[in-house]
Amino acid sequence: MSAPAMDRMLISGFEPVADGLVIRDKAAALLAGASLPTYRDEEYKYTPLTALAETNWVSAPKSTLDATGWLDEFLPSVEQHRIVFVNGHYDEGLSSHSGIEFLQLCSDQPKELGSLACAEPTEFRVAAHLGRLEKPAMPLTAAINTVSFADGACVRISSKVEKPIHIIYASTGTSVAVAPRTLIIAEPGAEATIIETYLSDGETLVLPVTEVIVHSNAKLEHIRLCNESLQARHLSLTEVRQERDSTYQSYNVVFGGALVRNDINLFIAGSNAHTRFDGVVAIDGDQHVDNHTRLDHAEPHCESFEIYKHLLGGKSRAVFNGKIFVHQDAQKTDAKQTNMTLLLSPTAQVDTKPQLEIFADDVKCTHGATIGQLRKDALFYLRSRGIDEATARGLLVYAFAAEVMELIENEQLCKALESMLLAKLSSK
Amino acid sequence: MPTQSDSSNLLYRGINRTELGFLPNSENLVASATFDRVQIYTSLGRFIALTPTMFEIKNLHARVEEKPILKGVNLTVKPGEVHAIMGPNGSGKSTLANVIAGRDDYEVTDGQILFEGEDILEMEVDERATKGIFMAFQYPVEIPGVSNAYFLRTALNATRKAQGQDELDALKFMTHVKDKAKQLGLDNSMLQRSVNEGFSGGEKKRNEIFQMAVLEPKLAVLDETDSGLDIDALKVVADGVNALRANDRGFLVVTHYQRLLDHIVPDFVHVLVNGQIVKSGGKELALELEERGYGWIEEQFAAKA
Repeated sequence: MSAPAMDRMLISGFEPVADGLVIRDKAAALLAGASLPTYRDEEYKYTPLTALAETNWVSAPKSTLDATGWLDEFLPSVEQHRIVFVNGHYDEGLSSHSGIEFLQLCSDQPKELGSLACAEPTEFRVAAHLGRLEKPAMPLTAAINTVSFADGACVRISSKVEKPIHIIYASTGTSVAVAPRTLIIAEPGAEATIIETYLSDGETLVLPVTEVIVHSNAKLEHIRLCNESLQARHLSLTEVRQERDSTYQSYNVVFGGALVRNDINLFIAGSNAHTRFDGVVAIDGDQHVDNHTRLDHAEPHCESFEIYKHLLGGKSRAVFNGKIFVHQDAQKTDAKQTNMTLLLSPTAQVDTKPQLEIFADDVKCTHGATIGQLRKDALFYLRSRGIDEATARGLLVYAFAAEVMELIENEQLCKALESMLLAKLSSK
Repeated sequence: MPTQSDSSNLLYRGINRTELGFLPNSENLVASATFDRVQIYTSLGRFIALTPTMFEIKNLHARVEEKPILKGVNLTVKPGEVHAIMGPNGSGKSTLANVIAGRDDYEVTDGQILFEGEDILEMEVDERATKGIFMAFQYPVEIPGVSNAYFLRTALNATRKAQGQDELDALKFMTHVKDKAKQLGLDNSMLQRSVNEGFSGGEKKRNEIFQMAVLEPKLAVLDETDSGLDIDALKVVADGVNALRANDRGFLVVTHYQRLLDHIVPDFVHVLVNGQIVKSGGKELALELEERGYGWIEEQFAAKA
């Protein structure tokens, strides 16, 4: 790659794609002259990104995976439609999703329906939806994705889909840079569970952007699972728009990654919408995980519940910033936000910042943050009944997270994620 | 003390007739009990075993931070006996219960607590429990997110495993607990609720007794189980305890008031004052305390000292 291009992309390994898509130009303009955020930028105070420029990331080569080793062992007990991308490219051999409307965002075959360039005017046009939710002030990492993503998944749901739809972005190789792109559209009245999983096997840099549109009366359960390797960097943006009478349930689960930063923004654009906005972070060692959530209540009679739970071992560090904006018209809003942290070692750290801005005068809004250790009295109580210390600790830690995990409605998935959590906790 | 010759009674001493395969059928087991030991002989006078006293506290001293609380407690509990520990506030009753259970807020500075001949002060909290010691808490702890059923199954299987028994699967376990719940007149629905979460004071204490019923300890220590209970709840809890009284189970009932002992009638009453047992007697001692208070004993004790 030439030097000026590298300079423009801020981080090596991402190459601009010239396909005439308008959103790419806008994002490129954002990147021009920008520099990676430092700890002096309020939004990145605890998670500066300057170090990302120090690694010589390389553009991810098209690669394949040994499915039997990696993917088949992943959530094996869950019946699912599977859409797999390896190093950012769709892998047809690993995918199985008959009956699901799935489009590749950019295909090598220009005639294909999913191609941005040549969709028929009467047909669903991906390009018309892509980038619609991005804001002018999007994170630079998201702008890099927008300029450089080479492929991605568009899933459109128009009715009730029974089996969960599992979109897997697997990255493999050393110092590879990947920009996964996802567009999820739940048409009016549709209902589905979507899992967005990120996996890697080495030092990778993954900058995903996901856009979700939940139309009126639709119900979408959206699980985002970051299970990257312990050397991986993962910086994502998720933009969601919810229309009236819809239900959106977000579960942001982070087990993996050396450095993880998730920005999840939800705009409630219609009345009587229901929202769950939850997260579980279970990390240890030197892992650093920063979740920034933003919830905009723009319309009246909506309710949102947000619980983020951190389980921090080793020298790990978590950051939570939860913003809720209640706009002037959003009367009768009921918004509740909670962030709870369990420090499992004396060297783990958390920074938490709830942020409510309310411009309506007839609303119910609460927030709370707690930070604690395992309760000594509870530990003694369990042990006094014959349960050994390690099991008792495991039980208490698990119970702490289970409150959120149990909210996942798909039972198979809930159980599978709970056992992943148990495995993560017992590996400490 | 009585001499017992009924061999079926020997089961509770931990010796099973059928395990003594070498014994010809014509030769029966005979026990002779002295105050704190049971000797097992056969009908032909062959000596088989000497059972250690079930539970024995010897010269126990304990302190919290630098403050001595227990100053030489001596106590023996045999299977089937119910002992009540009474005493004024601050005399060390709860400390005694918690030292037995193994709470680490207390430091034992001298003495021994022997359970079936082993010093439990050397044991971890959970090991004491799996050996058969159970404490009903004065303030049962709420544990959100852990269901009673899961908690009890984990606890019961830990005990069974430690005692060399098979672990119970979910089905067998549920049969076991539902049986116990029925015995105590409890509602099964509490099994699915989180441990003590949102329970009323009475429900929490009842849950303690229920756990005791499920875990079937050899020694049950009740730490002020009557505190915070109204008369009706007290009756329910006491009935639960009485249902669990058995030849092979000892009880140590720590209480401030005599009223619990109206329902759980003890075999022995001990008065703990200033970290020492200063008076022991039968159930009538409790009534005397109710009438006269603790003052006279404290005075007597002070005069002696």
